[in-house]
Amino acid sequence: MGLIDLNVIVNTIWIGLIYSLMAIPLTISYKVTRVLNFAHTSLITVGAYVAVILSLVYPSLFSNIFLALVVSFFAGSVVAILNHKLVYRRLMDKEASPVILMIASLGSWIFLKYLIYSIISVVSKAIKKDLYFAVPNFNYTFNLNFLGVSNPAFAYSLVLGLSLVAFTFLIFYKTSFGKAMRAVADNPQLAQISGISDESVMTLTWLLSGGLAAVSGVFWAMFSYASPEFADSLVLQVFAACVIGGISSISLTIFGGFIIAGAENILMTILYTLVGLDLSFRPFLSFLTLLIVILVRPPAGAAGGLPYRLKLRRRESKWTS
Amino acid sequence: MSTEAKEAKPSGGILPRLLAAFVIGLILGGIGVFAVQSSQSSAQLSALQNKVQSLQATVDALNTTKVYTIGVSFPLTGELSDVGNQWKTVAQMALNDLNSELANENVKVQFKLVIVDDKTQAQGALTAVQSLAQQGIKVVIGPAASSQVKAVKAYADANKILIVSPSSTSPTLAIPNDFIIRTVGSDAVQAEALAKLAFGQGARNVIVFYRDDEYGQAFAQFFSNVFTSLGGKATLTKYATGLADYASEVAQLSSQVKSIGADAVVMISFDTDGANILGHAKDDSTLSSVKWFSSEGVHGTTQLLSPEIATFIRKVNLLGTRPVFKENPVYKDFAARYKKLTGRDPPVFAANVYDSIILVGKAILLAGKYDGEAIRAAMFKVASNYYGASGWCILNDAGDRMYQDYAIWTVSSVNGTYEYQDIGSYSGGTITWG
Repeated sequence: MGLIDLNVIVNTIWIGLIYSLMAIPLTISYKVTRVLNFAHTSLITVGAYVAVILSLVYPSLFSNIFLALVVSFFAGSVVAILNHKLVYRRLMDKEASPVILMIASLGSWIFLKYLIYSIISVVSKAIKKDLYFAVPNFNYTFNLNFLGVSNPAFAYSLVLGLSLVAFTFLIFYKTSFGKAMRAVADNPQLAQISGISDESVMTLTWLLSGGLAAVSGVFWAMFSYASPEFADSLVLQVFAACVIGGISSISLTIFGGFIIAGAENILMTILYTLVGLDLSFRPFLSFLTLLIVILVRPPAGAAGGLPYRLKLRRRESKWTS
Repeated sequence: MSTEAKEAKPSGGILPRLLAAFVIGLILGGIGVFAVQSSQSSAQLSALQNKVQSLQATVDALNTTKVYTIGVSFPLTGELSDVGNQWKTVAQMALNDLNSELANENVKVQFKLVIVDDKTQAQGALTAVQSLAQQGIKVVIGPAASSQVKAVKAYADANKILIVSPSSTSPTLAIPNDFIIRTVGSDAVQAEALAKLAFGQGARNVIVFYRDDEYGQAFAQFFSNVFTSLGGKATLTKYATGLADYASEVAQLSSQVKSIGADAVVMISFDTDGANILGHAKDDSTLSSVKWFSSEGVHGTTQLLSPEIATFIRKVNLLGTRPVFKENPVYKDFAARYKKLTGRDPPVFAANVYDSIILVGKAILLAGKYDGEAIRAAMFKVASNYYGASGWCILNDAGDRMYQDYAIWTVSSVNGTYEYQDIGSYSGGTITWG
């Protein structure tokens, strides 16, 4: 490929998979709980650092990536559930509006961010290692050659990442818990009347969502590195992927993740090579992509863009005529 | 009236009356004099008492320790948070040394620090300086980055708040008669050093891959000017700062190296972005086949000592420049104490942070008053006689360090582990190896 190197294709796939894994739990949590959780990026950071610190401090045990992922999953789940019980549940009991819940989630984000900084500072001094830029100390036992690129971290991310996506679909569409989640998402009152406990479903949703977010952080640390603010730097991409998916469809969220990754890598390469566009425009491309997608194919449930409104108006006029 | 009454005359005569009047007069006069004298001595007593109180106050003042506050704007969060948190330890060490020295010499002055996080952002630095100024603080150590110093300059100049940055090196901020003092040399010289190094190593067609901020822009431009004047060709490619990852940028760099046939990459970065760039470059065959050069930003990062990146550095023979000073006993003592405290070697510009705190403290003492303008004037005098952890801190007219040498550094394998090593130096326009 003359214009686009294989490295660029591999990066697109790798980053797209990670963006999807970061965005899916946000979609699930919003769909079920109706909370737009800005503290989501903190869960990603928690997951990354749990794996990094454990692999550095206890390498004999946690250089095993599977073990590190399991512990990260539960760490993320615990933080997400605590956040729900201590913040969102109390506000929901007082019938707080979604806007209030969103503002509360901003508060949780800031609190967790500085809590993470404090913990990293203490742990960094205790173990005498730099944790502000840290990579996990995993022992990769297999590798695969993908499009001429041989990188064990990519191999693990691809296999485990796709497995997690499949696992999420399985949970959401093939289990009674997933059915309950979808019921609460569609109609909470009807779900309650049918005997589905709103609070139990929400708690389990946060467990799943927090755990997946944490694990996605581990994959990012494998691809790049963990720092206290790496996930905050990705908030645009994560939310963009969710919004492309309408903050409701898991499959469209995955599509959104790959679209954003494609814009940042493939589209950036094309524009840079053909037009000489500055590399510093990369973040702008993510936002531009989001804008184009929601105008052309508006998300379900949102106000929608121009073509959607025109279609709606045509449909309405057909009914009245 | 009866005749007897008319005829009754007082007995004794006029003399007793005169005597009585005289005595009464004496008594009254005495009372008057006494009253006047009393009031006079009361006033004198009062004046004396006032004098005694004033003397007492002076004695009390001489016995009371005066505490001055030094503001600090450090990047405790954000891109430079690793370095910023280490600097906090350095600042505390400097403060303890300064206060101990004054206590030992029986000087009734102590200093304290107020440290604010500027988030490694330009706006964050301005907010930090403003909040310190609102507390009446007249001198601030930091901020770290040139973009931040640029952001606070106008406010500092208008409000006479002295800014002492230990690490801002952009030549565009070398402006005389302002309230910015920098205890590190301007990058105009370092860019020259790096250009001569790259040219001397055989590079003729380089890509300057630089961070798109005040530091990177100025460094890249100065490098390009010198490198071009030597006969080389430099293509400038900037990248956005503050991103989570630079894999995409590294991929574009690789394409560009291939398309223009570059023989070297010159990286102008901070620590985290630089380490991330090298981490991705090591997986690229094109970037592994050209020479690499670097500024000081990435020096000291532990990630460069990891086997994967260190192997890449050895393969491409990455050489860098960094501001340095001749090793001296003050630095050796400082470095040993820092390592004992933290288990790590001092980070980049640590010696400059240390010296900045000491210089500011001594300047406040020399100024005799807590006033930005007075402290600024005193800084030049103090710095001209101060030899600290970073060596001689003499300032030029622009308030920047006048004499700055540079080291040529790389990462080498020593007894099975990787270490940073200085393998040469740049001084007076000449590179010396060894």
